[in-house]
Amino acid sequence: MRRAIATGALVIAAMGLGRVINDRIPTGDVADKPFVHSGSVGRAVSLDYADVTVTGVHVTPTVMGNPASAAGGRWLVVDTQMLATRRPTAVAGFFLVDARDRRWIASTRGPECAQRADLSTGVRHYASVCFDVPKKALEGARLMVTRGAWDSHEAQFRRDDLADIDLGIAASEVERLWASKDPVNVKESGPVPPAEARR
Amino acid sequence: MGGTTTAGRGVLGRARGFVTGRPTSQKVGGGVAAALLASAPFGGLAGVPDPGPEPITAGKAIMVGPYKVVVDKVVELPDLKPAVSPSPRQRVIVLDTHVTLTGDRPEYAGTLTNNVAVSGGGVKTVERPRLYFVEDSTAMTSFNPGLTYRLALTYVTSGPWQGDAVTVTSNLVEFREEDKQTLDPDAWVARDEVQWQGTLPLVRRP
Repeated sequence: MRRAIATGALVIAAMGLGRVINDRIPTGDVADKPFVHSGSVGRAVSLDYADVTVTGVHVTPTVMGNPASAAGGRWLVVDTQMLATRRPTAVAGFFLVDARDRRWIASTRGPECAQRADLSTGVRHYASVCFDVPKKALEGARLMVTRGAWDSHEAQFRRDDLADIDLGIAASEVERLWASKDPVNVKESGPVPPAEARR
Repeated sequence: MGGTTTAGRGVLGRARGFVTGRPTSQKVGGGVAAALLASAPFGGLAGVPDPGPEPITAGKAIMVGPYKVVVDKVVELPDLKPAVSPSPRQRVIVLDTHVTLTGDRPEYAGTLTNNVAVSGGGVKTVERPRLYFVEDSTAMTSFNPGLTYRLALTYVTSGPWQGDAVTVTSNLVEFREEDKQTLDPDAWVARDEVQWQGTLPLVRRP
């Protein structure tokens, strides 16, 4: 009899503990989040699968190429250098997050603008990513780089490493950058470093 | 026989007495109900008819889910090189549009291209519709909110369009905040219902 009561009490205590875990511990807030590694322009961010460095940031109404592409707003062109550290890696997720936590995705329009990068182990890969954005997206913009492409649920890079790189655009710089008319010559992505320096 | 007549008169008399004793408001209500019942064979009790799709006219904005779309004109071309190069027997129907993504998050173009259709030309569309930026013919597959683009929404048809008008339709596309069955919340979902429809003149270009 005493044993039966103890077993019953143990079952009830276990159920109560489960309820407390469900109700009080915010597992849903952390279980599906990526592992964020922050950085800034010119400094390599080390991820589990690659090192990512932003080497240049440009704002322009026109991306040169064949054909040249005019932006609906302005092109925010981000030059990157990536190095797969362990195994060949496909990086398909490039998107921006602005100062108000809004998302902006890369355009497919510029002929040399990269939407993804296929990295060979130990070989440096250079790629420029082009974002067609309105003015409000510039302030505080950060580049996110990860293996899974962006979708509205941000489900393709859950519990994966993500580089979060501040592009260094202050509010006071937005007007000047927006007024810039110089076109940007985007180089084809690949293992060859861009020949010409810009900005 | 005489008894039956007397009984009928008795019932009518009691009914008349009952009605006479009712307040005026109840008399009016009863009269309206009786009139409605009497009109039933002629459709008096039928539901309100479906208003049908809203009209599409040139230059007027419609909403296709999160996209504000203005169809400026409809054009038929033998090709749209370098973007679209159909066989010599085929043609390209182009909706010349201005498109703006509203809302506050990016979207992919499929939400738009999958839900706008053309018909009425006696030919079939042989490929999925595609979007191209008019100025440089580059494909448009994704949008950031708040920017307006002049875009060509293209349909490759099996042959020349018959007639001088094109019927353009758009499905109802709704935002679904929760869906416990598919675990796909906060998504734009197309319904099997035409929300917008209009017939626009076709411009032919050699």
